[in-house]
Amino acid sequence: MTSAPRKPDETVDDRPVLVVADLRKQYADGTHALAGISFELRRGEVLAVLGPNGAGKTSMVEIVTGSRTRTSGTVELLGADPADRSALQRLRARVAVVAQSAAHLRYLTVRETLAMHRAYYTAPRSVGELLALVGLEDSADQKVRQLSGGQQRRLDVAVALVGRPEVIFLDEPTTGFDPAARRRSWEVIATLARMGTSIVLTTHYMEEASTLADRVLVLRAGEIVGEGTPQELAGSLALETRISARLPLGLADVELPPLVRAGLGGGDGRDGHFEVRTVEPTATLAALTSWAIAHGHELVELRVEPPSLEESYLALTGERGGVDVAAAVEVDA
Amino acid sequence: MSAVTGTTWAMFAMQVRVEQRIFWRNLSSVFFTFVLPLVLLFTLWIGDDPAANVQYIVALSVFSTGFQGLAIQVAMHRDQGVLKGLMATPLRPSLLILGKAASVTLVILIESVLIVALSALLFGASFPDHLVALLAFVLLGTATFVALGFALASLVPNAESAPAVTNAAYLGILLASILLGTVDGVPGWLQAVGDVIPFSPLVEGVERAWVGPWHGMPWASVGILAAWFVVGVAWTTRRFRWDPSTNS
Repeated sequence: MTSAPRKPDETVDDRPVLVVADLRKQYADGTHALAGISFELRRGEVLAVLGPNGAGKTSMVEIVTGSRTRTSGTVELLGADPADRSALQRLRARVAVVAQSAAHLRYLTVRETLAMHRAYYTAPRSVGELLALVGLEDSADQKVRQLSGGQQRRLDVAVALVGRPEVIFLDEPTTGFDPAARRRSWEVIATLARMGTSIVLTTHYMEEASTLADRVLVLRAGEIVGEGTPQELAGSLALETRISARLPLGLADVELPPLVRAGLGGGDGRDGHFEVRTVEPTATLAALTSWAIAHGHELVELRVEPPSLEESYLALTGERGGVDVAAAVEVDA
Repeated sequence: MSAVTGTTWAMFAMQVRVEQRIFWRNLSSVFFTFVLPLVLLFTLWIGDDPAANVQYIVALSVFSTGFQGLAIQVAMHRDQGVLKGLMATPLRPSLLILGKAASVTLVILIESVLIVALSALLFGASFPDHLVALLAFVLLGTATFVALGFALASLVPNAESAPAVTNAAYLGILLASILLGTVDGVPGWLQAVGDVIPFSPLVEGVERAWVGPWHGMPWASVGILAAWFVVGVAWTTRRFRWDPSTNS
């Protein structure tokens, strides 16, 4: 292993858990799944890889966890190359993968499935602890084939936790969930993060990325088109801030100051409701409020909404139709 | 549970236990494994001289359970994503395969004992004369057909086509072996082809071990089975996929 010289009493390992450099995956017909991506996962970090279907998220996870070959580039997972078979065998004791297309034996119970996986690790978690972590205590003696889709995905996560992994890859862990089930899964993932596990999470739900992730990569057609904290990403694109309020009774919007009028648009128009979109929120807001104070108006329902991760995501991927926007903005019933 | 975990032995023992569990819990696998030898036994019972043909049922059980039954199960588990999930754990592929082989061997031994006991009970068939040789052939045949079963599973594109592909291979081998080995007027070179079809040497070995004076191990049959075992292992090593088909 290569590493910088360290102090002998240093206990915290601050090297990145995963380093990916210029990773490419090209198929025989010339099309590529990944067009040279580079990123790092730091210890204890939750990294969300956000992108529409077909962006290369699953290819990335499969290459980085050694179940698919790469065309070029380097991958260093816990200091080892997952393309090296003997290194991969050792990595499997420290790295867990929750793949979309993996499943469990249908004729075993939940408890038996966990007991089976315990045999594969030298210091496994107990079955009771695993059941409690994912909230499957009441289904412990049910056969896998009797579980609901959401319960099966929770079993996937429990199985991934058996060997106390240092790194977990979750490939679209909540796709197809209803909002309540998604929220329960988020709690499990947040618990893992609190325990210090490094997590790579792929998703096409922006709300999922902004709720769980310390950092977000936006992937589009095999390329990284955005990277940063959820807030940085949303702020980096000079996206429009939305300012909205209701006009004082009896006033028309032509009476608003010019800077505000210039950004008018949106708003439902009912009861004098108006919305302004602006890339200069400070000046626009100042113009609006000083105009209102000068004329003695009260701006009812005044709201200032910063650009959301969702908007930056849509701007970055250039896809409005191809992503699950409805799912990202849906309210929890 | 305070059992030792994470060792090769712990993994192997767990694999055998799990394979046994899922075999006996799946009624259709139990039914198809045991119904064939029982139906054949019954057919013998109502025919002439039933005791003379019991050994062929044992050979057929080894062939169908080790080859066809295993190939279908492996193809199904692969398509469901079970194998992919297991391959993401520290469980080595060789241990998964050995666990399946051991479990299939156990099922075949139970089947064989059942066939011998039932035929003795139903029509007073005598016990096999050379038990050690018989056991050796049953074990070698099982190993060979498990290896060929995995090789066959690597030819199956997805779960839907598993029964068709495995039945075609199973019946093809069976028919070719019987026709080329027993029908009169088959040219010598075709008979020679029939002799090396994997089912034929198993029948030969089981026949020799079953009845009559011992003339020594039929080494040619041992050699042919061993060669097919090597072919099965080599093919599986190179061609076996653990991931589900992607063109679903």
